[in-house]
Amino acid sequence: MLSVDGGSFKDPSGRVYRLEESGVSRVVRGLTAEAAATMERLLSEPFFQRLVAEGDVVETAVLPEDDPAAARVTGMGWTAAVEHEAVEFVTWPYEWPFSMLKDAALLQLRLLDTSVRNGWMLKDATPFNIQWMGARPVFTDVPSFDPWTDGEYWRGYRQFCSTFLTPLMLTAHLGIPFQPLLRSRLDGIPPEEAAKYFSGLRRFKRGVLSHVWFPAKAERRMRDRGGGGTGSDSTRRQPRTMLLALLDSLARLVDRLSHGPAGSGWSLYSETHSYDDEDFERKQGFVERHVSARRPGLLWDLGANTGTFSRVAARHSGLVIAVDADQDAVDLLYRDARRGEERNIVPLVMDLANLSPGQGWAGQERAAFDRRRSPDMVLCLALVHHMRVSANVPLSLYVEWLRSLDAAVILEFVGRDDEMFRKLVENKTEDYPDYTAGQFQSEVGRHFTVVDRLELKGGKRELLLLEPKT
Amino acid sequence: MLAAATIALALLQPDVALAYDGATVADQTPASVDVLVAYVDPGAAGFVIVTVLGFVSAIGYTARAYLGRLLRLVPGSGRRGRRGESDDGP
Repeated sequence: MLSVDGGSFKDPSGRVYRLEESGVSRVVRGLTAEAAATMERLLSEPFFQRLVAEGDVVETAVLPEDDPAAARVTGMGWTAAVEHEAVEFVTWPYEWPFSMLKDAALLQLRLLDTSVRNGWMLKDATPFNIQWMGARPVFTDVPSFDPWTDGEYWRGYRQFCSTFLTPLMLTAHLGIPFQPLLRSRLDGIPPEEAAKYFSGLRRFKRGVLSHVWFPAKAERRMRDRGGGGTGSDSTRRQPRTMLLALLDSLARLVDRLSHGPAGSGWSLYSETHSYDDEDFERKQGFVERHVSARRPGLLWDLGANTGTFSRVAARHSGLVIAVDADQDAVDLLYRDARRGEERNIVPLVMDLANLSPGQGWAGQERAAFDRRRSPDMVLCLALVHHMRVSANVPLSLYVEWLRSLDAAVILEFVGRDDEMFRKLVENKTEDYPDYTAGQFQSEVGRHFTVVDRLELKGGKRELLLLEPKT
Repeated sequence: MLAAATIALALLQPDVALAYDGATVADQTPASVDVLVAYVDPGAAGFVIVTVLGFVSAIGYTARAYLGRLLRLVPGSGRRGRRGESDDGP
């Protein structure tokens, strides 16, 4: 089946298609004649081949005309087709923790610097052009590389600031999470709006005067005067040294931005969970046994916090998508995954009661989290009571949603006697009468078959391996 | 230094900073343009901004390059590796 990528319509020089055949997914891009010629030239450049070899840019190859995929794409009016290495699970910047956006920003700057030194330019500068192969960022929008004419100025600067730098500075300098802002503004935070966050003495934070305040003033002045007046495009020249200096300055700025975990509840989970050592080991053993028996290609760990069980699962899975609402916990998980042996983990920040919806044009430009690719297995450990009590999602709805994923689920049910459940409800007036072991079993039984179970903490909790009923 | 120089330029010479090839913006646009705000490309000031920031960055960039060459002449002086990953570990 050939399907068009909902987010690839903006560049008229090409379109991305996904081809699913015999369980294999291929990413093919149709190109115009001009774009195909540029692509051929780019692919022969040693600097580009080096970037691909180092894993900074997605692998790309021109498809021969007799390749069935190329024939189908050129049959749609494109002159040529290239194939890109497929990203197993696409993610969006508003789902990344601070350190992921920071590493993506550094990659973007490094690629641009290398390109300019080799006579090329990147047309734009948006984190949507970067995806994750496990804990490694990779640039995927290869047609963004464009031949650079000496003196051409960097048109992507504003976009870089709006989508990378300003969100990072908001979190690093002010402690404001950037994810909700980027989720509501796919084009990022424009300078004039960003300047309002950095009022008073805040404007003197590192990088703010140069990359927020000054651009905001300049844009305001330009707008007040009706725009124009900076010469024709052909007369706008910027010496290469100036451009490289600006890139170097930005890279040093981004490199120095940091956001350390403030000790949020979940970021300390691995030290503060409520199990004794024996129960904790039994829980790990249960997860490891069942994940290793199934060896899923794609596993979701919902409510992953710092990723204790994501790492266990990653040893036996192709890719683990670890999701939690706590930015600090997810950031720790990312840094750990980046350094550790289990690099096949993509950590994401997301409110599990408000998953990323379809965004952009027609709601299809940036696919909803649960409409991208179905998982083969799901971990849902000690999460259901949070969904019921904190998010007020009825048990029946949550179990029904789990079933809609059509995957095996390892689910941990926290009973009403458990001290963590009691703590959760101590200031609540509602009794949550549907949250009982009996009701839970009934809901689960409607949608799943219980394959295995394990009692923990003297029966206060129960681990279940569930298979969806057909 | 980048910030200070940028501000100085923007505050002291705003029209020059926002003009190019000799003429100010005001010289080239009609007096009544407020209704056209929606038609103004928000990135229209982009060239001016990257030129100002690039110019100021280049001063520091060049100074650092020469400083680096000088440091290399000093035995035992090390240089930082390439930036590639955030290193603010827990």
